[in-house]
Amino acid sequence: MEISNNTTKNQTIKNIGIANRLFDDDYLESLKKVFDIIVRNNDVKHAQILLKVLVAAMAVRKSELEANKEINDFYKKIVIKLKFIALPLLDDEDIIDLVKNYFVWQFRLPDYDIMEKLSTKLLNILALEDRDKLKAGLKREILNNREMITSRAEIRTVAGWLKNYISKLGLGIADNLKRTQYLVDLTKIKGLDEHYIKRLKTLFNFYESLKFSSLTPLGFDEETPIVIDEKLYIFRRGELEPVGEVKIRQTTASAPAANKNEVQESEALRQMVSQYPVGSLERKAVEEEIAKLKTGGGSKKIGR
Amino acid sequence: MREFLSKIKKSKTAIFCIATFCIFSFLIGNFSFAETNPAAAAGGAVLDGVGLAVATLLSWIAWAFTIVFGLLLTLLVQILVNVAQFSNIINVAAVEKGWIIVRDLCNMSFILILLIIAFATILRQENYSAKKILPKLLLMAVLINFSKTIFGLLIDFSQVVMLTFVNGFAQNGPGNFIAMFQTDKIMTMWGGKGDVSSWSIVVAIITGVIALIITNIVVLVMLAILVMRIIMLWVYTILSPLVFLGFAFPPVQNYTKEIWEDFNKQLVVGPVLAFFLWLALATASDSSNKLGSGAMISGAGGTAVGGEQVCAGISKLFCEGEFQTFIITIGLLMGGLMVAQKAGGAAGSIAGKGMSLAQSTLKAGGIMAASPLLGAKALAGFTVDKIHQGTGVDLNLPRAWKVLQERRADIKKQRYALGQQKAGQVMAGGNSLHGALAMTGSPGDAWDQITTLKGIRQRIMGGKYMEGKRGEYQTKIEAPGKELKTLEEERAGVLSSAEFEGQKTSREVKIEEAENQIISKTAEAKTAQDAGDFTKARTLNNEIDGLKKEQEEKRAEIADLGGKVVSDDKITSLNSQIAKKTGEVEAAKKEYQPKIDKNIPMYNFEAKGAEAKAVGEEASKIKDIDDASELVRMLEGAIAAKEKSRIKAISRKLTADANDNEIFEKLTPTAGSGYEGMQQFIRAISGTLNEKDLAANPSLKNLNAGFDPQEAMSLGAQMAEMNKKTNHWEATAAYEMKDGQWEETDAESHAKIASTEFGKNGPRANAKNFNRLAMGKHIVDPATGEKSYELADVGLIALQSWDNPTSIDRMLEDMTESNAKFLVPFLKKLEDEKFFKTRGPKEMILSDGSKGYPNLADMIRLKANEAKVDFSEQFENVTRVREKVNKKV
Repeated sequence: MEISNNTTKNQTIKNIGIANRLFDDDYLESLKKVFDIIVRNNDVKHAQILLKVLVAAMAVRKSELEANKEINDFYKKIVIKLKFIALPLLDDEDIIDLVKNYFVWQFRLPDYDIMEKLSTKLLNILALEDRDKLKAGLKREILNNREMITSRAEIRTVAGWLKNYISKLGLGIADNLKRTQYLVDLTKIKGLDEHYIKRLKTLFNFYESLKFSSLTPLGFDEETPIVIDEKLYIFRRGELEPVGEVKIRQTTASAPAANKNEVQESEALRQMVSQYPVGSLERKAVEEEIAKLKTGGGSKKIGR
Repeated sequence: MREFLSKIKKSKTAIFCIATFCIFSFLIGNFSFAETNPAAAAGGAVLDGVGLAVATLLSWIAWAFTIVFGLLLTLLVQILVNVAQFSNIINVAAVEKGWIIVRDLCNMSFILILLIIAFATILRQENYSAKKILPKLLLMAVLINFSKTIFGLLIDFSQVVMLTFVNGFAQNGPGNFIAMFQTDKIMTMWGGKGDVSSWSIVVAIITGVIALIITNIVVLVMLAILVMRIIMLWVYTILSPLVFLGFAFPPVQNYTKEIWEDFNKQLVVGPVLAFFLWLALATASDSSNKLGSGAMISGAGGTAVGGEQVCAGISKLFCEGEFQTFIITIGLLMGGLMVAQKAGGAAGSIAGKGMSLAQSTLKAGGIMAASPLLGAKALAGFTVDKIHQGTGVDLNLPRAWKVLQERRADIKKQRYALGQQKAGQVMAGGNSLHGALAMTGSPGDAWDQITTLKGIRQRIMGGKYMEGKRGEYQTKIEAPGKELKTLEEERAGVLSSAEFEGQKTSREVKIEEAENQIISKTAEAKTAQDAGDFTKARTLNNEIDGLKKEQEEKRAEIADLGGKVVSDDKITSLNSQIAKKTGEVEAAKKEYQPKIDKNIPMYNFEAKGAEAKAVGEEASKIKDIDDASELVRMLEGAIAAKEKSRIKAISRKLTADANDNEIFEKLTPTAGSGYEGMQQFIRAISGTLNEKDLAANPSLKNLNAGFDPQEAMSLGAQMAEMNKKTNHWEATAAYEMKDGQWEETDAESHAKIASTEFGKNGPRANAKNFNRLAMGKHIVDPATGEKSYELADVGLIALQSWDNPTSIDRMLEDMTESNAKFLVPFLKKLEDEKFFKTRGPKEMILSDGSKGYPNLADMIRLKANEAKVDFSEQFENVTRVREKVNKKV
C-alpha cells in the first residue's frame, strides 16, 4: 500500500510538471511526434500512459484551456484518439462513453480495427458475465450516438443508420445474406460512396458482434488450442479449426552472430557519444544503442 | 349468479353439447315423424315388411342398453352421494401408517442436512450455510412432527364448507338425481295425439339411451373428481412431512412445492363442486320453468297444437318442459365441473404458488380417468374433447397422460437448457479447467459430464485420485505408441533395394534438370555480361551457384541412401512389427480412452465464480498502477504470501499491459520471456518444477504459491491468450487442452499453433505489428544480469513468410524500426546459411554501398538504420515518467 501511495504522489508531481508545459510550443511539437509514433505502432501501452498524463495535466489547467479554444481542441483531439488506441486498457464506462459520443473518430486513425480492440478488452475481463455487461452497455449506448457518420445522405447519424439497419434486419442476429443485400442496396439505392459504405460496414459489424453473448460458443472470445485424437485444433467462435503443419527452414541463427559490421557499428557509436553533452537526449539515445548491441552480442546459443 | 350464468352462456362446451344433443334428437325426431308426411308415405310399404323386423330388433337392443345404463346411473348416483358425504379423511389406515414412515424418514434426514450445512459452512457455500438454513430447519423439525395434524385441520376446514352443501342434496338420497335427470321420463310416452309407429318407438328408445349415456358421463366425472380428491388428500397427508422439510431445505423444496400447491387445490375443489351439485339439484327445475314455453320450436316433425306441450317424438323426455329441465341440469353440472376446476386453480394461486399447467393436466387426467371406460367411445370421445376444449379439463386419460409426458419433457428440456447455459459459461470462463469440459466437445457434452455420477465420484475420491488414474491409463496408451514410433523411425531409416532405386532415380532426374538449367543460365549470363548488364549477370551467376549446390546435395543424398539399403527380409519383418504394434495402439486406445474420459475431474461452478470475483476485486485495486517493475515486486510479494487471487490479478494486469515478459525475465530468467519462461513460471507457482528447472535455477522452488497444477496452467493459458493481442507471439500457445485438461505445449506444437494464429492476419499485417517479443525472447543470466535476445522459431516462420518479392518491397514501409534493430544481429548468419531465397523486385543501393536487388536481410538492415532517435527518449520527454518505459530494451 505504501508503494501505491508513493506512486500516486510521484505521478501527481509529474502531472504538475507537464501541466506547466502544456502551452509550450516545443512541448506541443514533441507531443505530436510521440503521438504519431504511438498511432503508427498502434502502441496501446504508451497510449494509455500518455492519456493518463495528459488528462491529469489538462485537469490542472482546465480554466486556461477553456479560454484557449485552439489549444484545448488540440489536446481534446489527441485525448480522444489516444483513448481509441488504448481502448483495451480503458474502463468499461470510458469505452461506452467513447462509443456513444466519439464512435466516428476511429475513422481518423489509419488502419484502426475497433473489433480487434474490443476483442482484446473482452479478453482482459475475467468474468464472462462482466464481458456481457460491457457488450450490453455498448449495444444500448451506440443507439444514442448522434455523430454524423455519412454526409450527403438521407440518414446521417450513427443512431439513424442503426435504426434503419434494425428496421430492415431486425433486432436479432442478422442473417449474413440479408446483411450483404442491405449493404448492396445502400450502394445502389442510396448512392453512397465506397468510403461511407466502409464506415457503415464497420458500424454494422461492430453492432452485430455485440449481439453474441460471451457465454455462447459463437461469442466466446478465447481461441483455445485443443488436442482431439492426437490432432491439434483451435477452438474459434464455436468451431474447431485444424492446425496445419509448419516447415521451418534449417538454420542455426537463433542466437545472433557477432559479426564484423556490428563491432564496427558499436565502435562508431562510441565515438559519437563523445560528441554530445552529458545528459542530452542525443547522448542518451546513442548510449542506449551501444547498450543494446552489447546485450544482444552476449547471448548464449540455444540449439534448435 | 349472473356471473355464473354468464360463464355458462359463454361456455362453448356446454352450449355445444346441449345444442348437439338437441339437433341430434330433432333429426331423429324428424325421421320418425316422416311417416306422417305425404312425402314419406311411399316408403310405408317397405316398413310394413322387412322394416318392421329391423325396427323391432333395434328396439330390443336399445332397450337392453337403456336398462344397463339406467342401473349404472342408479349405482353411480348412490356412490356419488356416499362419497360426497365422506369426511373422515385423515384417520384411514393408509394415512396413519404411511405418514409415520415418511415422518421418520424426514426426521432421519435432518442428520444428513446438518452434515451438509457443516460442510457448506466450512467451504463457505453461502446457499447452504448454517446462518441461512439452520433457523428454518429447527422450526421445521418441530412442524414435521405435527404435519398430519396441520394438514388434518386444513382438510377439516374444507370439509365443513363442503358438507354444508352436500347435506342439502344428500337428504333425499339418489331420488333427487333421478328426478332432475328426468330418468323416469325416458321410457314414458307423452300421450299426445301423434301416431305411434314401430320406428317412432325405436327412435324414442335410442334417444333415451343417448340421454342416459350423457347423464352417466356427467355423474361419473363428478364421482371421479370426488374420489380422486379423497385419494389425493390421503397421499398429500402421507407426504406432508416432506412439505415441511422442503420449506427448510431448498433443494427438496423444488419437489415438495408441487405437493403443497396441489394439496391446496384439492381443498378448494371439493366445496366448489359440492356447491354446484347442490345448485343444480335445487334450482334446475325452477330455472327451466323460467325459460317459459315455446322456447323450443319444433320443426317439420314437431307437434304444436293450441296450448298443448310441444314434443319431439313419442318420448316424454323430449317434451319441452322435461327436456328443458334435463338440459339445464346437465348444463349446470357441466358448468359446475368447469367452474370447480377453475376455482381450484385460482385458489391455488391465492395460496401463493399458482398452479401450473402440468399440475392441472395431471389432476384432470387422473380424476377423469374413468371416462374411456364407458364404452360409448364415439360419443364419449366427442364430449371429452369438447369439455377439454372449453374448460381445459381433459377427460381423456391417454391424451392427458401424453400431455403430461410432453410437459415433463419440456420441463426436463428447460432444465437441460439451463445446465447447457451453465456449461457454456464454464466453457467460456477463461481457459481454465472449466474450458476443459466444453472444449472437448459440445456444451452438451460438458453438461453430461457434470451431471453424471462422476461428480459424486470426484467428491468421494477426490480430483487427485482421478488425475492419478488418468495418468495411469494414459501411460498404457502411450507405451505401445512409443514402441510404434521407434519402429517407424527405424523403418524410415532403412530402404529396400526397390525403394532405393526409386529414390535414387528421382534424385538423378533432378540433378539432370539442374544441369540443363545451368547450361541455359550460363549462356544467358554470358550474353548479359557481353551486353554490359552486370547486375543481371551477377544474379544469374548466383542462381547457377545455387543450382550447383543443389546438385551436390542430391548427389550426397544418393550416397546416403546407399548406406540405408537392407535386406528385403528385414524390411518385411519391420513392416510386420509396425502393423502389429499399430493394432496394439488402437486396441489400447479403445480400451483406455473411455477410462481416461471417465476420470476427467469435474468443474466446480461455485468455486470458479468465487474465484473470478476475488480476482476481479484484486484487479480493481491495482488497475491504476502502470509501473511494470512495481507490479513485478508486488507479484513477488503475493507469491511469498501465497495470495493466489492477487497473483492471478497481477499476472493478468502485466499481460494486458504487454509487460508479462517482465515477470519471466525477473522470475524465470534462464528460460526467458517466451512460452518456455511462462511454462517454468507456472510450474514454479504450482510446485511442479522438474529437475532441469532446478538445475538451471535452484531458487525457483521459492516461488511455490500452492497452486493446483491445473489452476496454474489455466492462468498460463489465459496469459498466453492475452499475449496474442499484444503481439507477444513467442509467449503465446504455451498450453493446449487434452482430455479435458491443460497440458504444456512442446516446441513443435507451440510453433504450429502460434504460426497458425498469426498466419491468419497475413504477412503485411504481421510485418507492421510484430515486435521483438513476437519474433523471439529475452534471456537473462542470473549471475551477471546480462540480458540477451534470441530469435525463436516463430520469428523464423515470420521471416519465411516475408521472404517474397512483394513483402521485401514493402518491408521498409511496414516493419517497425525497433523490430528491425533486434533482427539485425541474426541476419549475417541467416544469409550465410542461405535462409533467404528471394530478392525484391526493385534495384537499390544496399547497406554495403553496392547496387542490387535486395533480399529481406538487406531491407531489414536499411529499416534498422532509419531509426535516428529512440522513441522511448521522445516519450520520456513528453511524459516525464521517470521509469524508462522501454528500459528492458
